[in-house]
Amino acid sequence: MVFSSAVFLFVFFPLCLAGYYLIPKSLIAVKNIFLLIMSLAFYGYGEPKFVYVMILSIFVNWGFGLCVDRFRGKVSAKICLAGMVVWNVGIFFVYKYLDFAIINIDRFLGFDFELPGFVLPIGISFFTFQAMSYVIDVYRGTALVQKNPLNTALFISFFPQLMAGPIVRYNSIAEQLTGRSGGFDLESFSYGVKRFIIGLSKKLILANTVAVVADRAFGAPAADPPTLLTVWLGAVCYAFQIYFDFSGYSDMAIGLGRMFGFRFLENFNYPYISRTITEFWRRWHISLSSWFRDYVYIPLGGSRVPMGRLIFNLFVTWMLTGVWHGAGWNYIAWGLMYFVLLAFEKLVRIPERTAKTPLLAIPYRIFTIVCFLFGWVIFRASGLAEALRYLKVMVGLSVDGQHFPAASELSLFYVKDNWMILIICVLACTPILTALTTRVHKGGARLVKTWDALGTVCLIALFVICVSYMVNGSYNPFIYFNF
Amino acid sequence: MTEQKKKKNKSGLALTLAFLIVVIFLTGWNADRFVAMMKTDLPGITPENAIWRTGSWNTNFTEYFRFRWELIDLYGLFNLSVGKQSLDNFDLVKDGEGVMQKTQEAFDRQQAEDSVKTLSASFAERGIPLIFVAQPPRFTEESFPVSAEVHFFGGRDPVFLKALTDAGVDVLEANVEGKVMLKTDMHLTTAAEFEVARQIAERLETLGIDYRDAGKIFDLGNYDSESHPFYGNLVKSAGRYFTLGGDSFELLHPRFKTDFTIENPESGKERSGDFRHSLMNGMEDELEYVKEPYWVLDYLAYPSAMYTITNHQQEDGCKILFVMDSVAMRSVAYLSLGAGQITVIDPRGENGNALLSEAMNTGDYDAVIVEGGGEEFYFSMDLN
Repeated sequence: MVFSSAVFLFVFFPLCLAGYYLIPKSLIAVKNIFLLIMSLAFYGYGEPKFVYVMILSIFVNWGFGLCVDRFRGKVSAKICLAGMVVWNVGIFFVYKYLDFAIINIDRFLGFDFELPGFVLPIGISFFTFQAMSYVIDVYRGTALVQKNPLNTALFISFFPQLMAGPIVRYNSIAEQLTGRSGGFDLESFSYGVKRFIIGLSKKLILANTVAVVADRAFGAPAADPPTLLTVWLGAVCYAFQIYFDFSGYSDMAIGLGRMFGFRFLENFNYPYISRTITEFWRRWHISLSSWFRDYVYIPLGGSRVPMGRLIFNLFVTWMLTGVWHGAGWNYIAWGLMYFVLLAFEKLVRIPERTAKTPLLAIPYRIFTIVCFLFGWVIFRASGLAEALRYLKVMVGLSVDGQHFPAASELSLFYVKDNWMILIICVLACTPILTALTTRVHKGGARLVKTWDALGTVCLIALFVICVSYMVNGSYNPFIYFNF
Repeated sequence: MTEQKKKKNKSGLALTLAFLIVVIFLTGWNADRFVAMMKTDLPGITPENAIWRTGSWNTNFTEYFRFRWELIDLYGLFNLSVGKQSLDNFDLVKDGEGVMQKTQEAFDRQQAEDSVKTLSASFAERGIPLIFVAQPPRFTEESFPVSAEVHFFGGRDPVFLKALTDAGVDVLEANVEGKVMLKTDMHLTTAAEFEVARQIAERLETLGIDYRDAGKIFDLGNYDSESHPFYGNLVKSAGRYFTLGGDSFELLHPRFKTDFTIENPESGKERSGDFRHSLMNGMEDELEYVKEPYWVLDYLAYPSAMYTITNHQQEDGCKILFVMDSVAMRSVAYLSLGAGQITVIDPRGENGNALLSEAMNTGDYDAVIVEGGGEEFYFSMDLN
């Protein structure tokens, strides 16, 4: 089930909301059980058989958590931790990478193994990482063990963040599972509504609209004849699509969480305004990058190590980040591209230099934008060869001896058809509205009142427009459901 | 509580209330439809079929959503306000004249050519002439939408038509003066389809086929006309305001005596009576809550793969096989007024292609007519 569907908004959500608030606020445990049941129903919608995979994962990780806690300080705790990693990575590998591994073993070693063809359970990358963070946090002593399996189950399966994050860290939510107020809090709820509407608008109005141009430029369903303008426009549109799609989902997740009394950490912070690649990764998919930082990069030694070791640490972290996104060479290449760029920035101390030298900051900002656009091309393409072909056209090189024109009637039509949406996308990628609101709030009372009223009216109008998109639209799954 | 917090709470309250009102209102108004859908769909659900069964829930739910049309109007208006010309994954594009056009996959010319040539040659072997009817083009060069790189429904492909002519296929390039196309729909106007039927009848007569009373049948003075406000399939997902207003759909009822039976051998269903009660009223099985009839489907028996029209006034008249998709339904209805029997085959229907192969090898006809609009028609008609 997706948040941007009529079945979610007009069936599941009202039932869930009504059920939750009808349970007396003192009965948090009952509310949690209710949310758990609804979360499993949410996950089971579509592919009920994967509910068993998740339930199994929940109970095994809960068990590992208990063992790690019980044997704290002993070798057995380390063995349990290792067992937990093997179990989770194993599940992850079987469902996500086994086919890819076999294809490559067959290709490079000349075998002819049959592909098992497992279907990827939606959200496995997210709930597996959440489960791992729980056991690791318990092992490290940064979180208390959860003795109630139902609470562990709710932490892992809570529907707002279940399928595409943010990857919630156990220690950030442990207290809220049992200690939050179960009553209706208008401020929190209205903030949730606001974030939900913003997320829904990002997904339905912006991401889905620019996705059409991106899909056509990248050749789905049928490739348009490439021109320089088409491929650049396609890359820009995909950059907007993936940002509004994913950050829209995170906004909705954070908003829904708030409506049920939970506070999730932010997952995006205007990544496209970054001055450097290092900054980009501090602002993009924060829950994943901080997961890799805390559970891979720092345990490997982090930055305060000799140069060779630092390069190795970065390599491992970014290789894994690429692999996490999908079973394909293009994802690995995408991860390695960021490894090279981040190693370069660390070695040359780019963030410090750009902060000190404004003359360097502007060209480096442009370089950063070009880098993440190239990165998204590698990420979006159906394979490495396709990505290279696309990148060649972008930089004006010939492909198979064929040169491509600067623009065509069709590419100009795309611009004409989407220029307003593209301007909205550019504005929505920046904190301009937030800055404006802050400035207005420093002004007179009447201005603040008018501004807030206008904001409320705009949000309500946006919500109704989103409903019109929802009722009209076909099924539009989120990009990150695939990961 | 501070003054600022109070104000914040006021706007928060307004937002929360408005959000909940919209959700509760639309949930309440549509609950009966969802429950009805569940009653039909839930009993047969299994873990194996769940993915596609539940996958259709959202589509079905939104398809019959109360206030759907008002919301779609809003969708169209919003897109108009942001300067959009294309909608629905580039499926629909508004051309330079404000008329909606539908994009389609690149036409597989070779397969279409091969299929029509095979049909023509097979019938020619049995001495049955085949006429390939090229519809009046939907758009002119001047209004050609977007660019030559995108393929649109309803264009005329001169290379394809020349290839057919060169292969000996009898091609009738139907041309109609005046308003040919509905602005909001992929189909011709009724007057244009009527005119195409007249040109087909003329060609049948030229071929020496016993087509009767053409003078009377194709005189518009012998018809009562009835008009209905109409928003066709090209605005069903764009709303009524995205394009240049709606259309008027014309129904033509013969004033002279008519007596027909239309029967579908696969379903066993049949309708008999005069023109209006047999060849029209095709929508009589429509769902109760479909408030705006899609008038194109009022004719004949869409979407059956095969049905037969018998004209009891001309039982010994000519027998025609008409291979078509929905673009010729009204032409067939009016053409049947001077024929003895017309068998309609739509290759897109279930077994459509097999039925066509069978008709090609064993059917007893005086003439065969082929008229299709979309690439799906040619894609389905795979006779090689």
